[in-house]
Amino acid sequence: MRKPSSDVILIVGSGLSLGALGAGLALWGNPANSGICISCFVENLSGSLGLHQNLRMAYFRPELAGFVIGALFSALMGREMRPRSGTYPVLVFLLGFFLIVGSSVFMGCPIKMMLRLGAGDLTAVGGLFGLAAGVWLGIRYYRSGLDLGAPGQGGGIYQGVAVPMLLILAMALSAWGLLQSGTIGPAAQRAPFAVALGSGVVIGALAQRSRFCVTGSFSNLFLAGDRSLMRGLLVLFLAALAVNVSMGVFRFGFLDQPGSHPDLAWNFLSMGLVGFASVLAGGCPFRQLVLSGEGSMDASLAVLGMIVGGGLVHQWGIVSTSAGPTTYGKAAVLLGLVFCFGIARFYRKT
Amino acid sequence: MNQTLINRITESLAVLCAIAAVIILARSATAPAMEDSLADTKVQAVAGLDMERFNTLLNEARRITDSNGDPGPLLQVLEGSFPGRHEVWALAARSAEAQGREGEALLDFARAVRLQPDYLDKRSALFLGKRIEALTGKVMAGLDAARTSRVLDGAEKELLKTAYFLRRRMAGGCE
Repeated sequence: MRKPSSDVILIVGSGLSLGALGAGLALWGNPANSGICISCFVENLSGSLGLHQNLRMAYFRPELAGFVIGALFSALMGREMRPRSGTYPVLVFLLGFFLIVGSSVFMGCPIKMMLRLGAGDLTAVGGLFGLAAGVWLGIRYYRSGLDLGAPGQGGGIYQGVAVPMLLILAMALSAWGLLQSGTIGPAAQRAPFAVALGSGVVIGALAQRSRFCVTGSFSNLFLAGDRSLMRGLLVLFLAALAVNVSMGVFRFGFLDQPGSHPDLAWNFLSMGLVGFASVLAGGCPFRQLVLSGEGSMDASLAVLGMIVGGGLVHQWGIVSTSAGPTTYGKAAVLLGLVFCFGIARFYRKT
Repeated sequence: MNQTLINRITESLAVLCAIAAVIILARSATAPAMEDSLADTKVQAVAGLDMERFNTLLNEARRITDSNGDPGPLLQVLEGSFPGRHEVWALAARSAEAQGREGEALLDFARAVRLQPDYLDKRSALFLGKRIEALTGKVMAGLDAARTSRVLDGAEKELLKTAYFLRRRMAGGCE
């Protein structure tokens, strides 16, 4: 029998850790179905920094720092720490912003979408199809000449690790009680600090080594017929499913699903925006965090855009609730699509 | 595919999205405030409101409700003068429930929960989760029974949608 390659083991390990720990963190105290949700965590971070006034969503999640610490150490150990930057910083920042807009209207990032599916939440199906459609659209544009250029080496290690260091500093400030921290609502639902940080480090390190990314799984498939990352995505889903079923928290159907709304059309469109923007930005929100940990300044800028977005989606009433998407949320998703189509129109080399 | 054609399609999609966004925003801007959907319910700025008057009226409405009276007219004054205050909707819900108008009570509770999610948070002093859960179950049972013999009308469908919203909120998760 042929032994699986180390790449496959790493990809499967990434999917397994994201699925099992993602479902597990919700059992350890994080909000239901949100054991790992980059957009929710970023909104929590923005709230803890005072960028929005919804104290129910204000808490620095140690998992966020864990992801970048894991990626940073993994990159250093694997000699893959390469400070690098592209040529369209403003676009990348705004793409980061729209990644959070799309995620907040769907009520979760692509990882949470998979965790929701693994918990039996059928309202996330619209998001899955939307994400695939958005990635497919982005890949079609790349195939027809869209070119945002390859990032060039340089910029220095100091700039390369600035955002990871800021996240680590924020974690320290939060631990000392210097950041806002809600005592009610989702902000008060937390896995123990060490468990959250440790899970983040393991997941971040594995994802850095494997290059695992939810939208990357689709884009590799559409671009080159490469199914390797898809294996990780499948394992993520199965691991979450196994944990949820075995712990008795699996709820199949459209009803009674935590942190969701049933508007399938807007789930499709909002995740379509996330898929499209992720292809243009070079990865889903989780991948941006991991890449920022290995010196990508584009990803660092996307993360900063995500943090600003995390504040504004609450301040501007963009974020959806269980009642459904808001008027401003719908408009913001459409404007995000306009922005992405704009990039696709103006950066194609014919 | 022809590059010019791709450009035209891209431009058309962008324009289509922009037009749709403008229509959505314009419809919202021209709709009367009280016709906001549940999803669009938001806390109004309370700056400049006469909070002393608000508290006096609210306490009086509470007193009438507690003595099994009908605070309806007073609640209407409160809803008109102090829009977006969750306390008014929660009291209206209590009053409607006490008078046996369970559907109306559910709609009012949903509005209160949208404005102040703490009503469903066990850690909060405002927690009314058990009461809202029981009411939701009762209303849904009634609607399920009605559904077996006839098609639900518009108001009943809206009520069912609201009950589902409350059930999703009670299930937890991020908001």
